[in-house]
Amino acid sequence: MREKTIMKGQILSNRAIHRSVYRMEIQVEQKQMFSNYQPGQFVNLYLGERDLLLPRPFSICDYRDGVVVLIIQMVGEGTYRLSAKAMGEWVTLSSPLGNGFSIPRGKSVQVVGGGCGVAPLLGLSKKLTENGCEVTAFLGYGQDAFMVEEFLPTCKNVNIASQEGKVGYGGTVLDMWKNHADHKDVNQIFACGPAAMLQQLSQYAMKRGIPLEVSLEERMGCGYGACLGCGVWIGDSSPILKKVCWDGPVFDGGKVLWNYEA
Amino acid sequence: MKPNLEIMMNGQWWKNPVTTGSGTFSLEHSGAFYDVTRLGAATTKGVSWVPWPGNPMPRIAETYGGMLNSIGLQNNGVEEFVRGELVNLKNMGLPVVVNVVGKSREEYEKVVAYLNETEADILEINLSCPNVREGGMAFGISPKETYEITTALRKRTQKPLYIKLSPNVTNIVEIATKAEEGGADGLTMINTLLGMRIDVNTRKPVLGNIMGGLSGPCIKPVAVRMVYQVSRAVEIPIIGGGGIYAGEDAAEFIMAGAKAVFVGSAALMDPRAPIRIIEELENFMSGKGYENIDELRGSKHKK
Repeated sequence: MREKTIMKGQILSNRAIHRSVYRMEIQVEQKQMFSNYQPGQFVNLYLGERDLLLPRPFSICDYRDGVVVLIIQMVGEGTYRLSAKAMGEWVTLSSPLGNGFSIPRGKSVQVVGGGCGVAPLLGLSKKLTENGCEVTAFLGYGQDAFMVEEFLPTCKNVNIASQEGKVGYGGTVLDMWKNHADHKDVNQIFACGPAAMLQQLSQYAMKRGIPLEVSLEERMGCGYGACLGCGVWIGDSSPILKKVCWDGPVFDGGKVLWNYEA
Repeated sequence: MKPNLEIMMNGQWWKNPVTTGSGTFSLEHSGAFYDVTRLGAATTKGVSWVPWPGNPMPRIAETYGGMLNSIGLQNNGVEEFVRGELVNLKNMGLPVVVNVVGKSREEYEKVVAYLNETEADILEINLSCPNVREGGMAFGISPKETYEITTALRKRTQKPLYIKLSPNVTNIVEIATKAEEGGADGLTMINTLLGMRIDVNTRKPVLGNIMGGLSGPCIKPVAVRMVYQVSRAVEIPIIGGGGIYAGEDAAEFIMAGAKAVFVGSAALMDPRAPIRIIEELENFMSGKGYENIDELRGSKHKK
């Protein structure tokens, strides 16, 4: 049985890094629960309010010495309230949930992120680099880029795309990835972003025979496997309904049945 | 002095009156957050005769003070459940309430007959899931069908038979009375209230299944009212719940007439909720000088 817990954390900083995107640093109370953190795992943030009761799941962007970094995009009332939290305030959060990306040793790898999907790829890039991998990042944004400066020191190459063409390549991260010189020597790809992007990237990667892991997003209830709210069909001949929160959120991109309905 | 929270449920002692709400508990997942043997009993996710895939995503939508779900009774069938979850829970010494779902009377009968030969302690018949067209709701909203299916299932098991009631009816007392007449040993109430949300930006329903079941603290007054009405009309015990989020909520249901209580969606909103609520109930009782659960029962009301 995997041991999980709920704990308090104190906000060290919470600042806008884009119009609607916040970067929140939390000093957690039980850092031993984070000692086995794998990039790609997420935490539940509990709002502690009487009206919005479900937790908000956020992938762990980075973790070091008891400090968790989360990237929070304002998409509704709950995330709006989180954006308003100030330094010194306390929040309630879970220990790391779900399963992270695999960490190969000494390989040539790519991380491909779209929008806030770049968040877990930062901690992942650091871990991969620590394990002797050469990491090339492809980061795509709607308008302005964010977090690029954090990827630069840990990646061999960082390629930026913006759909409005404000920075880097003008277009989607997928277009940029397709137009990139070649992907011959790539051993593995790790990706996070909108489902349509992940689906297409999975198809391209499979055509080229490159293994790919994707981190999926689905509307969750509990975030720990109890409610069966967040399902994804996985497999080939006999599809199995997996739980994004407990069995994922990272899955083999080649095995996700993107538009399957039972 | 520490109050005594024990209750006797159909010939079996529960160490406290708190069980889980069907579909919000599993040994693997809930057990990752707390010691499940502290529960009065464990109520498991609805099991059907054959595996069901459930409804399309999204299956969850938040509402003020609650949530909508349209999971659709996804489960791997009774056989796998008995081999895995049930054996594991019984090995821990927990009373187990097994929730049963079906699409026809025959299916319910098969599952009940199958569970009769197991270590399950109470069979809780879900006649009220609003999320599956044939998920029992058709039975649970008709007094006649409720009576007929209860008598049919009564013949299939000697185990305590509970009927889980739907709040989506005009007169819940009538349905409850029919379940009792049909031979039910108890009632669980309430299931979720049928609800819906539309995303005004996309103009589409938020849930993949369009409609879903509303649960959480926002439904508690409805649930308390229904437990209150039904407990005055039947002799059989009630496992009451619907929006229990704190120990005082549990006390409120017992005062309304419930023998035991279930904690459902609160466990999704706080994984340790069932245990926290047991502790809060105990603290509430010692603070008020209640020595046992029986002293809590009943409310001071005007007829």
